[in-house]
Amino acid sequence: MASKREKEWEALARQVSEDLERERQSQVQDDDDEDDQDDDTEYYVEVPLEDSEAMLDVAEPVGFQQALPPQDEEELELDPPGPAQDLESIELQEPEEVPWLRLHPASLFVNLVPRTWKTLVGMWPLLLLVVVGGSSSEDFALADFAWVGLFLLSGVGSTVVHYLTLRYRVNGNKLEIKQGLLNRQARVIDPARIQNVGEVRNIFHNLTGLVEVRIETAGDVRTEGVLSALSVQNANGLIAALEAARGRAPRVRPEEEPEQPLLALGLGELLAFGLSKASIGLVAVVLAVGLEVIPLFSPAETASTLENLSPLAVVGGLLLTLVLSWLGSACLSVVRHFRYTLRREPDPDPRQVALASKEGLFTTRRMRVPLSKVQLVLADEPVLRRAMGFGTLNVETAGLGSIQEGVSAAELVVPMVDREELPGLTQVALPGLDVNPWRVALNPAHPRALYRMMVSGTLQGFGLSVLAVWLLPGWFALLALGVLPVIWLTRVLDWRAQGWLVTPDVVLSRRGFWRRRTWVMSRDKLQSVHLAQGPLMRFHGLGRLAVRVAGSQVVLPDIGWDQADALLDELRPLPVLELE
Amino acid sequence: MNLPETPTSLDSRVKWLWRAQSMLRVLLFWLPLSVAVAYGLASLTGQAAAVVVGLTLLGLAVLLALFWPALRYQYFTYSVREQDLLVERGVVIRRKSSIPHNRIQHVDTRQGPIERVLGLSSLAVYTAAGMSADGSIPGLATGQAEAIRDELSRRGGDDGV
Repeated sequence: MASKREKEWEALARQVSEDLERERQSQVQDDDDEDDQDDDTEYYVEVPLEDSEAMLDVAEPVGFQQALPPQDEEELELDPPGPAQDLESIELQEPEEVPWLRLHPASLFVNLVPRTWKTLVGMWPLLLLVVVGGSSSEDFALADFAWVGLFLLSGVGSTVVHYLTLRYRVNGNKLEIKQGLLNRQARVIDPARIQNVGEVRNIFHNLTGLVEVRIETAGDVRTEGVLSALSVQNANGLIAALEAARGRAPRVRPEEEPEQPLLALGLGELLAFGLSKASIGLVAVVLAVGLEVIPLFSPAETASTLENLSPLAVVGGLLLTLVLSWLGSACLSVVRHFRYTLRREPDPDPRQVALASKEGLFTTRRMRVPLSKVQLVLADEPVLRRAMGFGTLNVETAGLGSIQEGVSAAELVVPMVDREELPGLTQVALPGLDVNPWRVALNPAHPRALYRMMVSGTLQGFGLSVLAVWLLPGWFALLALGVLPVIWLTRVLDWRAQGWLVTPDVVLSRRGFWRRRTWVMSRDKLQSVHLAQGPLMRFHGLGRLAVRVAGSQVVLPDIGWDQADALLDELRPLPVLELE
Repeated sequence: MNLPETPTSLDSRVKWLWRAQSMLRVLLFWLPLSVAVAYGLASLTGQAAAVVVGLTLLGLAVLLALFWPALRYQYFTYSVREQDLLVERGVVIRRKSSIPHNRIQHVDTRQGPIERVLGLSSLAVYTAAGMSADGSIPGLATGQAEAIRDELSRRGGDDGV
């Protein structure tokens, strides 16, 4: 095992050094059979199983000519792609060596802050140790600054190494990315598996006029390829080459916006979006962190302050934090979604018709989601937003998002959609949708499900009441009396809000009163169906059905076991219809 | 070898596999934990009570390790139906998973050291939704596992992504 791994590593190292050599010499390479064979064997080092399997399906790697526009940087010195060849000669020849491309030199500047920050975040336990542990002695400042300096330097180092070692190209119908000095990675991505190609610009990209290209494929948690940063020209070239590798004509990207946007959000709507967000969780986190950290610095003062604090001040402080974080979250939403526009990009190829969004004040984000890749649409309508007459639409694709960005990176989020337009927009995202999810009568959850919810709610409410009596001072403990009725009411409302429907084309599920969410899943994307039943559910004869698609799932409200079992047998992916 | 079209139990040797695995867990986890609990309690409750608590904990773990596999075996069935692979399992929480043949991307069989001794293999089924734990079948006779793997790979279709 070890020797195989070593061999792979050696081969990879040899390949990388060969390529570096080749580039330095900027010479035209002759077709070299041996060399090309090396290419084929060595590049499967880090490819996940499913990818390597899918690769077998790809057409023979014929001498694909990359349709890259001339480069403005040093790549220009490399030999430009040869003239187009006719089919016969292509099939006879070994693939011509496609030059490796690298990041734009200014990406050093672009990546410096984010990468250093990432390094710092990655080392937070060490940093914490430095800050907390070193505080007793007097040379605290100097030693700590040295440590922090060291961390910063390692961030700078990683940026430089990243820039110097990253190479990419589209070769033989596959995107190849290699990087790393000590820990070498070579990745081969089959363009047919690409779910989204996103372009992101943060403030640094905007300053330098560069763009970050993100490539997401199905079935993997990380973003497969992140290229930060490329010149706009190189980025367009790469995207065009990927399109061509998928056997499509390069998409024409007109400079001016093609047609009226489906949706454009103004400042007022974005503010309303931020304010109608549930931000209690954030408050809890801020408070918890605050309570943990403050005593670290001045334990004595904290203790005396806490003793003298009146309950009113506590409640006041809580309210203030709540309001501040509420406003803060609203501001963040405005910054993130600033000047939001959503467009439908038509295309002669029906599988390429896409939804494209553009947003952001400092970081401009563009998301483009081909409709053929949409797995499900989730409409999120928290009670406040619902009262304002709006809802949020998440269009989910199979790219699971990257570790840095969280799961939301794989979604195209439409923050504020007028209630009247929700069905229409859902229909745009899921052209197969055959019902109006907001008008159609849904099947209710099983009556026994309400009973179950009430029992579990009562237990929770009882626990909360006890906690309230124990923790709250004096008359505030009376609040405990209100807990149970509120929970009962909520459960009834929640139960009434639940509903589900299976039509020939979609699976529909709705849950939640305070935060009403409606999942609409296209049935031809179905991957598997799962049914679960705990002991209490068995007592009530209930079952919980979950329908999985790539990267997500739809859970139906609790229904009768027999009905759920029948659905398990009935739900099958439909035979894929050929698009005319 | 023909494939089971109606719910079928695993190879009964899997009970020994599970017992061996559970006993390993007892040795590596529950034994040290019991000792630690007894040791920690000794200063609070006196030695006799601590020993009783520690032994009870350990005894429960051993009993479960011996008898749970039989229950688990009883509730674990699988069938290769016309359109899907159906797996039913779970003693406390019953689970039933259906994976349509045309969504299976990749099937593989694996064999750990204990499985090798017992002549068993486990089957793992992958879809584009990622590795699905509900779609894996442990403890099949090696020949059977390979037959199912080959049949499922043959039937597999598009990924539907």
